[in-house]
Amino acid sequence: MIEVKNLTKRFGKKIAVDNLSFTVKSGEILGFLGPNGAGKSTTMNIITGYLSATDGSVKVNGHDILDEPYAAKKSIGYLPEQPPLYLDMTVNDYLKFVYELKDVRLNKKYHIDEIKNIVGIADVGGRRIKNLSKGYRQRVGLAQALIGSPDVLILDEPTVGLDPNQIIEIRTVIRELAKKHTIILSSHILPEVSAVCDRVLIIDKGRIAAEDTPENLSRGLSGEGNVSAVIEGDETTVRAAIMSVPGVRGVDFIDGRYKIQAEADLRREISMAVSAAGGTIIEMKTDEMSLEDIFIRLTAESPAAEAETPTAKEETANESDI
Amino acid sequence: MKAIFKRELKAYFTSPIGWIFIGVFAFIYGFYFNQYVIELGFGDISNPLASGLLILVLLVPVLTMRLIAEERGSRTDQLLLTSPVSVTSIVLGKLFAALCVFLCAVATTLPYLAIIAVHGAPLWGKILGTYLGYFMLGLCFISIGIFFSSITESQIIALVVSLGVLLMFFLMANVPSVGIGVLDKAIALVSVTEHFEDFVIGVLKIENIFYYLSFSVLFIFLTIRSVEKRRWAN
Repeated sequence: MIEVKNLTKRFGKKIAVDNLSFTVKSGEILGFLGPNGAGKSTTMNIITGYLSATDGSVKVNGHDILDEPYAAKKSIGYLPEQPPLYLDMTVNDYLKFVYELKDVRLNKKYHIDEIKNIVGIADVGGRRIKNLSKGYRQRVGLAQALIGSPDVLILDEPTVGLDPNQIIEIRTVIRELAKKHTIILSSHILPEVSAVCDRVLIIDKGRIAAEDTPENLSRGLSGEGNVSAVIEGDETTVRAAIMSVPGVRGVDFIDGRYKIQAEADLRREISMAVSAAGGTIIEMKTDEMSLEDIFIRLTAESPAAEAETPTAKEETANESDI
Repeated sequence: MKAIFKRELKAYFTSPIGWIFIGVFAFIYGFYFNQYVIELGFGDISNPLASGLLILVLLVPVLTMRLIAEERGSRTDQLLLTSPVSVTSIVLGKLFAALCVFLCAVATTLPYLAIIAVHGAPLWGKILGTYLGYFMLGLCFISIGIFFSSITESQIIALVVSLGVLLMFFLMANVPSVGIGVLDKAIALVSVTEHFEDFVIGVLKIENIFYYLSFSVLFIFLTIRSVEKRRWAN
């Protein structure tokens, strides 16, 4: 569906996208994960034809974005980081304009009404966009991308600036859309990507740092058996009890939590050992990594940085079960 | 192109710019008409129109400043450029919308024509020539304005620069011969308003029409290039 090959984009001396290659299958939701300035938006801008690549090629639905821009652009709906809204227009006028601009051949009124219902803006159709809240503007931006039912949706940080309820709503909408569309979405929030994406590309400094399903990424990188626990009881006793479990490599006590490194998932054994020693486990969970942790891990290539990793990891220890 | 044309035209009249342009234009031409026709008794509409060329120089940049600069400023260019439309049709759609507002403004002078037709003996050839010249000059000015709107994100910069350039072209007509052949030719070439004189006296020369058309085509081409160039920025 989307085929990106050896994509490179230079801005002066800065390389924003560095030899990026990936494909997205039909019906897949691919997540771009990366810090600000990693090249996510630039890549999306190139795929959609807003920017041109310095090198490499992009094919959407079999159409090269440079050779057959019309056909390629017809199959893409794009929500940029900042929704491209004409603030002076009403929502209805704006969507009608986009409908005409994209030369859509569906039943106009029915199609626009349907999209307004999907993203939940049916009740603000007559209002000027400048009078809408950030959340509604984001939805109008999403509605704009959906016009013409394009095969491919490219959504640049679709939930940024929304409140938690709206984020959940938009995620539901995106999952619903995934039944009919191929989607690339970007985010810098790991839970968001895990919630909706089939596959994740971690992009750092314009390169792919990792590529996997969200589960494998956070599990694989954190080590299967790392556990974080809150335990009541004398520290030395608890420590000794934990260390007595075969397979436990080490224990640290930081900010009231025990950080346990183990070879496999030893939660049952640890629990029994601690109880036997007289401690009470208040809370225990596998220690999954946050995006920050994964980044530190993935980008720490030099030996010096490698040595830093455990400390850095603990500092940013994640409550990924939220 | 149609969608862009329609949206631009509507935007001119939902924001005050279209109304201000037409209003100021109508007011100043009303004033000129009063001076030439009512006070001095000339039965001719060409004079007031020709005398007010400076007004066009001052007003057209107001009309064109937002056309592309605003899209860039508000990032709506991302919608336009990722939609299945060519840059050429985007630019032409915008140009025609501005031209439409310009023609609406010029249309406010038609009642004066009726007054002259009733009370005097209008020289129709001269009048038609003047209107045609006006149209050509308007097209030319708008093309220049839209180009300067495409090189910046700031509407103010677009306004000031296109105003400066149009004013320079306008004043070129008054520059005396400097005696250096090449320089004189160059000055004559950019004396946009000088080619207007023939229209006003009712002389229709193909070369004048060609002159204005090629001037417009050049700036439309430059506009398209400047929008496309941004895409290739590196």
